[in-house]
Amino acid sequence: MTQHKSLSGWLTLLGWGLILLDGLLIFFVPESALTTLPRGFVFVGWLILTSLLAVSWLTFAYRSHFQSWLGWIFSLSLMVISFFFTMGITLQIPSRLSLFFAILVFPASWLLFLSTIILLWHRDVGLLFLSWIPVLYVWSAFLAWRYQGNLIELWLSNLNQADGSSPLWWFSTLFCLSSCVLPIAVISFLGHTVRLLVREFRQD
Amino acid sequence: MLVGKRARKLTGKNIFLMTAKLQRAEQKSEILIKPNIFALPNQTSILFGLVVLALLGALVIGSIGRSPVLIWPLTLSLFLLTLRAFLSAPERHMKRNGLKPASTEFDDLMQTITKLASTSPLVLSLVPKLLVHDQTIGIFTFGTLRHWYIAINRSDAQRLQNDLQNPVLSKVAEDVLIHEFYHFKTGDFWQMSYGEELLRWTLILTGWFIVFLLGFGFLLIIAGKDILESNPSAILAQIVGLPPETNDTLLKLFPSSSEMEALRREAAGINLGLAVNFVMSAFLPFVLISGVLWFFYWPKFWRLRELYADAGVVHTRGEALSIVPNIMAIPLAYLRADTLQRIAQTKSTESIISKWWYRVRHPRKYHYSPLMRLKCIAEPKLVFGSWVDTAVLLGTLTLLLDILLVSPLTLLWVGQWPMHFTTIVIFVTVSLNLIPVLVQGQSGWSYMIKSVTLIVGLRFIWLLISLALLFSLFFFFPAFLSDILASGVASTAHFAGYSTDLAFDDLSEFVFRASILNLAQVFIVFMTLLLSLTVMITILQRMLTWYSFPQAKHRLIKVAYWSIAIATFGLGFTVLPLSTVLLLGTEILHQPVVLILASAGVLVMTGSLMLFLKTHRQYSSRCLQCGTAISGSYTLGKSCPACDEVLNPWLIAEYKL
Repeated sequence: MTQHKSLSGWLTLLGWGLILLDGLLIFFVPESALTTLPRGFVFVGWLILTSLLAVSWLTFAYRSHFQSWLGWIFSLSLMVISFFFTMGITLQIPSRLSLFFAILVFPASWLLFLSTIILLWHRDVGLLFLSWIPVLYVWSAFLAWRYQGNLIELWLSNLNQADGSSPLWWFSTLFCLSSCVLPIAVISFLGHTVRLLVREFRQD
Repeated sequence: MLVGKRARKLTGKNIFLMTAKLQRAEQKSEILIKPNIFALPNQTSILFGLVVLALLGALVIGSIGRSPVLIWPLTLSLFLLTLRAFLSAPERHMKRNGLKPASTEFDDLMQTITKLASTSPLVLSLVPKLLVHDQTIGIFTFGTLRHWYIAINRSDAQRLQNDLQNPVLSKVAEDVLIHEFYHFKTGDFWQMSYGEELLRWTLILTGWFIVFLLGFGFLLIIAGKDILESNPSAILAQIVGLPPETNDTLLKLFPSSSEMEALRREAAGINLGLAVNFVMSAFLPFVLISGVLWFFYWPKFWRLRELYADAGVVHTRGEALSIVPNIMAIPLAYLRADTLQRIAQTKSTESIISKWWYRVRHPRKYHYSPLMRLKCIAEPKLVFGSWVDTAVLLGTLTLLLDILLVSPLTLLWVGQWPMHFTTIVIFVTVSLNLIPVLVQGQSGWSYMIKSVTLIVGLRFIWLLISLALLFSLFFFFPAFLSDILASGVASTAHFAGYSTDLAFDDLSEFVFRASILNLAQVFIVFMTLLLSLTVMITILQRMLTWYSFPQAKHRLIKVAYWSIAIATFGLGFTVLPLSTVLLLGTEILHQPVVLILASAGVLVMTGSLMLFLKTHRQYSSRCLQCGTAISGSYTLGKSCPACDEVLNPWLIAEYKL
């Protein structure tokens, strides 16, 4: 038991260490490492892979915090912030900050996915997601169409934009949110239903 | 009603009972004959059925009839989600109140629960599990069909357990538990849970539909215009680097120019105001009515179930006086030895106004006033309420149903079958309430005529108010009325696809035809109810004289339920369709399904009537013990003139006050 605890503690430390290392690398690595294609590719690959691994372990290690809505809302906020600073506004100066948020999109989305699994494992709230995400889509599309104009035109005109920013960043966020949440919500809803039925018919 | 001491025939099986009775009779010179409320239709079940029927029934009707939007997914979702929420309710209860299974610390209490659960006449099919909590709320029951729970505060559980060990207080503690057990025995715990979930989910689902459909409608209106006016070729041209073959393939996915033109014309006809009006008038009635049911009808359910639980303890113990303080927390000193008898013999002085005022002042109270609870033990017939109570409850409920059924989702069905739903609801409920009335030897005719008159009268008053408003507008503001009708009735029908003509050219024809049809409907419903309930009274009255019917204790009430079910079948499939033909002059009887069902109704009613008459000849008006012929109709406590055997004894509550 103690061995397990110490291993778990080491892995948690390693997870935080990796995140710190990735942050330092983003801000302090030489410019040439980013701009040269093979090295830049390896560098970005390393950042994504290690951040995903670190987030996976850390989510598992701190899983009790994600059993409540607070943990899930934290994950959602992280994802929305990362999308906003990556696609919503263009951060030219400093460009490293832009890279930081662009990389953050991956672990933040992954964190949302994992925290949704934990939340839905412990709470039977799958239906809440299944019902309110379509409402969110419909109303945000309606309000965006009302205040931003023709969304199809906006999307097409944005397709060829070089800096990667988009007025439809909210749509990408929503799409990412629903991709992370809806499949798990369906599985969770069905799973909890089966569990309830089994419990009802089982005489204990 | 007071009757003298009666001696039972000295058969072997009766000796024990008679000895006990004689012992009691020595203590008291006379006993009150009280109806056994557990042998009669359960009022909580009737109320539960009415609430479920009001909400689910209206949606089922919308689902089977032609409806402008697909309503069956809503009906199915409501049914399944309510069921699911009902199954998960215990979990939520436990989480919310911090309920934990009782530890070995409460072994003695759990053993008593197991022992009492199998004690006659209680005999529960399941033993409830004991849960403890640290909240301030007291003891309560909940559960699903196969999992029953009693939750109790830790300190109360400790006290209850200590009391059970104390010879003086053990009976008090047992009475508290028996009271809770009767919630399981009558099944009100699951009805309460299911009913609450149904009301909650009706609010949630219809609320969700309103929010979603409004957003969707707005989006379609605002985006549809832009999309339909856009040029597919121009859109694709904006995508840089698209290969020509992909471009062609994508172009084929868009509608052709002629199709686009047709869509544009259709979209131009959509009116935002009408869309909003349609969504709101389709779903808002469900939200409002579930709110009304929740605030005004459901509290009655909570209170009624407690009366049954009180009665359960008294039935189990066979006496009332020492039980009352235990289950109602009224000090024994407060009660004189003859308090309950005095209450039973005193005519109620509590007016309807004061009863309603108490309910208004205590809208969410789980119990009736202590006086009312005492009175219901002393005089159990009060549980069934007066004819005014039943009529007001049913009258207002049918009014709510009328409002629900004219929503655009059910409008077409109601247009074709205007009298069915509410008439059947009234018929079944009044028939069930007639059973206790007839058992107590009261006049079923008077009860039925007064109830039906008040129920139909309430609808009639509502109709008169509506017609007065309609005619006032017609005579003084015809243009305004035309506008209202166009934007209300016609626009709903137009948006739903029933009608394309929004103008009311001949306003007078509409006003007069609608008035005559509605007034005639009230009269037809009134007469149909009077006639069908007359038949029902005749059947039930005769059935109560089947003194020699085998296993009557268990089977007679089932025969009564079956009779009501068969009469409802005949009413729904034969009588009401014929009345509808008379009223509307429609050709619904030309439809094969309607014709087959109407014929089936005639056949079933004829067959059942023959079977009833045969059984009646065989078992009616003959004493089970000595076979002597007994004349006259049944009244509670009636006995055989030859052997003095009490007839239909299971209908009498055997406890002393």
